[in-house]
Amino acid sequence: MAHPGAPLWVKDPAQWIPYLVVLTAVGVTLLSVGLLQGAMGSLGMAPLLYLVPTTLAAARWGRWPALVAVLASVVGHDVLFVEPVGALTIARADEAVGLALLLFTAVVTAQLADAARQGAAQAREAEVVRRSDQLKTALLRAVSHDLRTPLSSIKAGVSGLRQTGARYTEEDREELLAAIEEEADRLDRLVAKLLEASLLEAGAASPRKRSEDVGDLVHSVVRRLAPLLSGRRVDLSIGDDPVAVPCDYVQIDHVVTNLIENAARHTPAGTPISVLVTRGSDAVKVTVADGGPGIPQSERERLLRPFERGASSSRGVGLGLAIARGFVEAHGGRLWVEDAEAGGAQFSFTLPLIA
Amino acid sequence: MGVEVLVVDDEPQIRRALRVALRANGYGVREAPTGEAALDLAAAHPPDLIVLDLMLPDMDGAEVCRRIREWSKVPIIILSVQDDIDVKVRALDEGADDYLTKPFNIQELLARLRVALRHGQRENAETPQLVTAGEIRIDLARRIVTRRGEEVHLTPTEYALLRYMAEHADRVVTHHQLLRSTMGAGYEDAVGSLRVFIASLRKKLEDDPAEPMLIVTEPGVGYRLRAEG
Repeated sequence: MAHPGAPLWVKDPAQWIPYLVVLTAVGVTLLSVGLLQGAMGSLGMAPLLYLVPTTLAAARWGRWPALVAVLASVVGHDVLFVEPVGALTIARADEAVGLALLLFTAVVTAQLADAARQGAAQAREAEVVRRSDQLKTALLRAVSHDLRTPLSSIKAGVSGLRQTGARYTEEDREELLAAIEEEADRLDRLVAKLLEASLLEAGAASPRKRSEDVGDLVHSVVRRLAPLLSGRRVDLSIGDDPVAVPCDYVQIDHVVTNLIENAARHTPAGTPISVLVTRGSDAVKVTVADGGPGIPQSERERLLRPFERGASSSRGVGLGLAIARGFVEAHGGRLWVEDAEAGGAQFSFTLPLIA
Repeated sequence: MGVEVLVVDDEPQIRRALRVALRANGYGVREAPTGEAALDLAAAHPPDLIVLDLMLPDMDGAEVCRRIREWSKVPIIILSVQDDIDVKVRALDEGADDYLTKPFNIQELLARLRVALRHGQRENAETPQLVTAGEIRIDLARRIVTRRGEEVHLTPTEYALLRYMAEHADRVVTHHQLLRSTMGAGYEDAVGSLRVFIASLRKKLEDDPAEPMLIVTEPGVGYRLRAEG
């Protein structure tokens, strides 16, 4: 029933179903009219019964099945019940009027049903727009909350330092100034991340896929992050053969960067990190594991949603992981978190080998 | 140590700034990063005042307020960001004494703290007989309100509203609290008529009712009567 309103000559067999149902319904109606005639001795109001299959067909499937119902009703009625029985002759005025009435009812019902369906479709569209507006509002609120939090610490610190009459020791002043500087840095990182998110989001809907070597990509990310990773052992297990995958280099670079940065930022200094690229039969899997404290089960799903962060580490917006997951899913892959063998956290994502 | 303040906030940097500033001003400080920790600490070492963030990882500030109010009248000052207005109003309805919007000035917080502490002490003693706000004197014992020495005639509802605000002078009172205390149960949603009564009160009491200095609007929350001191 892909196009219930389409005319009869359409080839898809499924589209014949409405017509078969309509003809069966008309057959049952003709039988009922025949039985009524037998019981009452005359036709009486029995032909009104044809309204049942015609209006139902019009309401359910639209104009064409309704017209078929009208025609079948009129022809069947004429052949079976109008003298001469067994022949098709539309001679009498009341028959013509009946035919016209049936046609009129069918067309009007079909149009009303059509309008109702369109209205429902528009309502659904409006609902989608409303939901996405709600989401935007929620995002804005989350962003403004995350921006105000470091601002609050800065303002509290500065207004404290400016306060006269209180007894701030040199140590106190130092502590307030340290808090102010750290929070200013945090604010700066936040703004950079937001900018990055908005830039990346523009391309997120449709990754521009080209065949890329994921092994090379991982190598270059690790080289770039060398300053952040200094003092740690980083184990790369990539294999010698190139691992060519259709993907958007910029997006997957972002994903790998984000996972390695997270591993470095959320584990104590010196904790080793390992990156593993494995090739399966239909996908490539990239895993970033650390020997840090790990992530409790209850926090895992939350961590991958926008603006959520692990409770243990309140630094930084939880935007990076959500964007990373968005990119991977736009490639038809999956991103998840589990326990690493070494006891820490382990983030993995897959990229299908066939685009 | 003199006055003990319990600071409840999940942001370590905010706690750090508050700890340093409050200690430098002579307060003792304990800290809690979560609602549960706050409830435990408040029970183990009853503080003289609580500074409470609304957005905690395990429960919202209104819930913390409700659970503390089950057994304690300790003054509670809410810290919130602008968007949390619903939770803020709920927290105030649950018995929080005042709120401050983040980012806030430490001196403003210290001023609110002093007001809340003073009222906390007074509530233990008895309600004041006389409240002065600008050139208005509200004699709660004799039910007489004067402005520059002349008696002001108020309707019973106007007087009831003014009395409630005077009893909570310098602290925010929510629409809900005002309506419940003056018009009784069932009228808590009549914020529209509350505005009308407040407008007529301002006409009788304020120098410039368009720019009220005594009965100040707290947007979205309620009102505050600015008393002297």
